[in-house]
Amino acid sequence: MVDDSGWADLVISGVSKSFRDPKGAEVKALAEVSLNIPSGEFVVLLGPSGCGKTTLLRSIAGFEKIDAGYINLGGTRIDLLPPHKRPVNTVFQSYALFPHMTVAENISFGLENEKIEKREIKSRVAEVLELVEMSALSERKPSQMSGGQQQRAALARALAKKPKVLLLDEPLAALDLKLRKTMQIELKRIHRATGTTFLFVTHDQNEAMALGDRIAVFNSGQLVQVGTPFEIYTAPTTEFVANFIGESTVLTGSIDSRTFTGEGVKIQQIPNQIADGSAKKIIIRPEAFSLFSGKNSVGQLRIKEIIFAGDALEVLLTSSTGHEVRVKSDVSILAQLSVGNEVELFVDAAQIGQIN
Amino acid sequence: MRIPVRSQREPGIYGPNAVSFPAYVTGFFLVGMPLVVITIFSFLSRGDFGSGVIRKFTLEAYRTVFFETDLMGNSSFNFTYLHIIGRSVLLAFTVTLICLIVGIPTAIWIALQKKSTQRVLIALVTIPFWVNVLARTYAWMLLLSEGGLFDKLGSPVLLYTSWATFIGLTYAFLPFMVLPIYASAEKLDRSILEAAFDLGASGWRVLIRIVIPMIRFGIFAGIAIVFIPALGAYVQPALLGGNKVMLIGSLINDQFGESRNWPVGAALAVLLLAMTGVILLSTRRRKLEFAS
Repeated sequence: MVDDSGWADLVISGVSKSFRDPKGAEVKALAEVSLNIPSGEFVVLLGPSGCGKTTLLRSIAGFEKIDAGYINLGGTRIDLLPPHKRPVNTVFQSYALFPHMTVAENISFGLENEKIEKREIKSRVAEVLELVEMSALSERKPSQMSGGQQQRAALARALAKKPKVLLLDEPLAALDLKLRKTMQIELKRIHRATGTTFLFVTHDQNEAMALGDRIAVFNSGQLVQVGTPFEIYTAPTTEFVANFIGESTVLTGSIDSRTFTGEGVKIQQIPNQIADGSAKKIIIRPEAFSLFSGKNSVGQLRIKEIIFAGDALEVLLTSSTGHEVRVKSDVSILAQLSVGNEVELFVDAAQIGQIN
Repeated sequence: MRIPVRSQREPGIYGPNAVSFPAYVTGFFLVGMPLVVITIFSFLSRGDFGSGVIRKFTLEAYRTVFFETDLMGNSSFNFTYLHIIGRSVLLAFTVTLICLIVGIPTAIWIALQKKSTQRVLIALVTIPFWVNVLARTYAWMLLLSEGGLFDKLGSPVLLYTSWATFIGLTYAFLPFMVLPIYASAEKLDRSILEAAFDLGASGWRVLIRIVIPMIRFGIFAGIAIVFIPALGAYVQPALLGGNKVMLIGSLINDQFGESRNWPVGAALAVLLLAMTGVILLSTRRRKLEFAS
């Protein structure tokens, strides 16, 4: 729907917002957050609950007034406009469908607020219902539909307005896992079909990786890292991101002549981009490790726990100082492992990263 | 999300049992019996000395309400009582309308406040119930009388006019309008209102298209519990209106008192009951239509 590149860019600049908690203390929900979102991108705002991601979404929608900074959309400042004058629309976590209206009435309500001809409204309603595959249920009331169907209706209602940015506030949180996976694929299809900018809030890292062109990770009101899912996963810049997205082992120690020593382990062949020094933090993803065989031995570690996950084994090891090391392994070695035994750990040193 | 249907409830829990016994006793002796007695009285004859009734079946009471007989013995339709009923309906309707106009915004405004503020405001709404209705009506008499507060403020003396009746009734019934509407407005999901604004609706459209339809059950309940007692009101027309303008409540009172015609009083009471019954049933049917 939106094609001129740059025409609908969303620019969030230095946005801050504080709340008062019930005791009167100031809580910073957003601390000078800046983010540029080119038109048509699918951006996921990811973080634990209370990290500020929903506050940012609500500030863009107009339900929260920001204390500092500005929000521009297509070159126009929007953060001072009331919600009903902003060219953005929201899909709410609770769907927020109007219970006394049918699906078709819910969708046309938004269109009737603009000066659109009745015939045009009818065809737009039919068009979005087809897009979300809900044409057969247009005369249903929200109470007569399943959660997934209500979700689609809420999506159709927001998309019918042809927003420049579609804001999605944890829209899949209430659905069961299977339905959530189906809806994720649906959302990607709808995003491609409409070309609208999607700004999607979630606390689920798997959902963020599955959906986002880019992920913006938030923690305690701060934007900690922005990047493609690949960048975020393979090169996290902070320990928070490393632990929040995927699992990882973080080791603190010193690096001297390409050898890391610390937390009771010794790792050789540290990549050249990680400089020598003391108090260095390195991060290793579970799949970079292997047991029994490999090129680069880390030594013997004790098995603390073995978790069979169907397609893979998750093995928790402890170093001589008691530091935990997470290993993901092939299921074929299950029979050779038992809790309490020692096993030789290997690592692919090329996959070792550094965090600040 | 489906609204439970009454028939799906388990009869073992909701049917008659030991716990509900007091309710049945109360209902039978304090509601059922008086209604039966009044209905029977309306079909009996006037007592020999005016008061009471004698056990002789007749439709005379209803005939008296609707027809009059002149000295020559010709019957013609009697508009006197119908006028009084019509006037009472008009007054009750106006009172209900003003209570709606004031009550809906008040209730919604209260429901939009912080939870702690809401509790205080609702307590304020119910404070008048702590004082007997007669005492509150006398207070209004003082306010509206000659030399009263309103007189001093330059308003014409309203005591013993229909205006005083109207003010007294609106004052007395406003809380009954606010409370049920608040009860349903308080359940409104804030995100639904946000969604309506998000979809480009102005405040006025959100009110008309979203809020009012969603709190309609509270509004119906408010209309029913204001209109019905306002229709049969006796205290305010007597004390504030000075009984200058006859209303159905005073009329029934007179039949049992000064006029000493119990059957006619009973017949008027039955007609009032029938009217309120029709009104109640019609709102109930509206509810079902909306719910489906």
